Amino acid sequence: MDYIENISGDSARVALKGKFTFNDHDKFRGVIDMVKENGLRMLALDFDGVEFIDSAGLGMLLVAREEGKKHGTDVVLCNAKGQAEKMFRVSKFETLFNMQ
Amino acid sequence: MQLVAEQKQKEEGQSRQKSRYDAKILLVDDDLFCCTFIEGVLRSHGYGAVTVVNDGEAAIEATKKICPDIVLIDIVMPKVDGLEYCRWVRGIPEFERLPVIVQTAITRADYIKHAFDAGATDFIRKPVDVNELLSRTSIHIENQMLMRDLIQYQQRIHSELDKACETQRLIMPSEEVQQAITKKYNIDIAAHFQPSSELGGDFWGVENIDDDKMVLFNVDFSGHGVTAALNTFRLHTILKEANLQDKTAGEILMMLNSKICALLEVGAFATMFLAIIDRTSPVLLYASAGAPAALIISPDGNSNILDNAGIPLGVVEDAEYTDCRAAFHPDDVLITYSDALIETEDKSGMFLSEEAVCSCVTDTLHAMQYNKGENRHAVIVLDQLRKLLRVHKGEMPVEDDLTIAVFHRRP
Repeated sequence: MDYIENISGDSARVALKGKFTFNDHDKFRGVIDMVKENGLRMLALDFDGVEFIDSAGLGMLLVAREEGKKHGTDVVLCNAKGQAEKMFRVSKFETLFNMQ
Repeated sequence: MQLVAEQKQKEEGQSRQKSRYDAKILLVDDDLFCCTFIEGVLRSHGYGAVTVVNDGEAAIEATKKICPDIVLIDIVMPKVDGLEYCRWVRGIPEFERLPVIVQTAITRADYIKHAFDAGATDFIRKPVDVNELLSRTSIHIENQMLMRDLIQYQQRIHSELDKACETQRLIMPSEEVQQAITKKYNIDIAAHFQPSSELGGDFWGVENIDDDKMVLFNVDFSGHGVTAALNTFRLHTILKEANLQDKTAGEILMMLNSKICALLEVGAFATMFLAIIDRTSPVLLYASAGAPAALIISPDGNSNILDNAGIPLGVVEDAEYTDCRAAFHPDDVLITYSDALIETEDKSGMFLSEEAVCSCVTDTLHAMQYNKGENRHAVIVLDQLRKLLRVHKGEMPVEDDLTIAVFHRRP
């Protein structure tokens, strides 16, 4: 998985790309640090380029959600499609996150 | 605190030093003057356990007898020479890693290569330089000791993981338990559990509720390995202690969720499918916490992919789970599985779909209709599903834990 971040004011948009799995713990740590360090109001995670997410990937999103709650950041999941959209639906992530 | 730590470090240093000087050194040379000189140097620098022999044959005998920690051996000797000794020692598994330092007056690269090819670990030049002798001896003893510690550590971890793996298999229903369920509820069971490393984050199970009703479930914790496995033990304990009577499937999931929530770290969760079978009713009651969709396949070719949406266990304390119903008639087959079945890639990166799994089971049941005497539906369906995955993945590895449980309602 790779990502491109774009911070403007108190919002950030992170475009994720590729497969989001168990092997991406360290990389995604960088996204979670953004929540911790930047005092963001909103962090939008864009899944348009994500072709696959596994249970570890879902777990990392839950960690981001928890950090967001602590720091007053709304973590929003955007543009999920295909397998990622199905995973979010099956896990009822719409009840846990704002979805766009 | 710091003083205690420093003291401990000092003691550890001393004990390592002490054990280094306790190393058993075998010194082999036919030149008696040389032997006396090297032995004297080693002893005067604290090495207390030096055994001296004067030819290769005696060296082999001494090696077998004292199991040295390091060997210093001359190359040119009568009977068995130093290189022959090296070849012998490398042929004995027990001494595979024994450091053997050859002493040689000839230091040409091709000659030294010859010694390394024979199995020597290192060499020292003759005439012997005291500093070179001491530093090489010391470093190889140290390496040998570290290597030994590491091997022992690995063996211990390996054996502990083996035991943990055995224990994990014990939390799943034994053959006896499965047979008792078959007898009591007329449900035939076959299951496959394959962790991706020694331990897995999956488990499945069955529990009696009363004379008519039983519960079955399939759980998959996020991640795999030791952490996920510890969570399977936690949930298993909660399940064993729980009172399952007079609860719907959704209520059981709610109860498990509220208990496991307090025990899991943020980001860890479990997906779970749980169903209640009533032997007096053709309806299966079930609930899902985001588990892969369970399937019910009928012998007439109908297949039902069960609704599986639900917040995984361990995420939010007050999560609610919807109770669902599905027809489950005699001769129907219910299949629950972990996501590895439908999330393992073939060589072009494609996954098996639920539809492909259904169609494999439908074909299997269809073929079995012509074999009226056959009543091992669950085992046969399970075998075909494993074959389906095997053919699908080809040479690709299964990177997650895999559990498949098949339940056949006997007529």
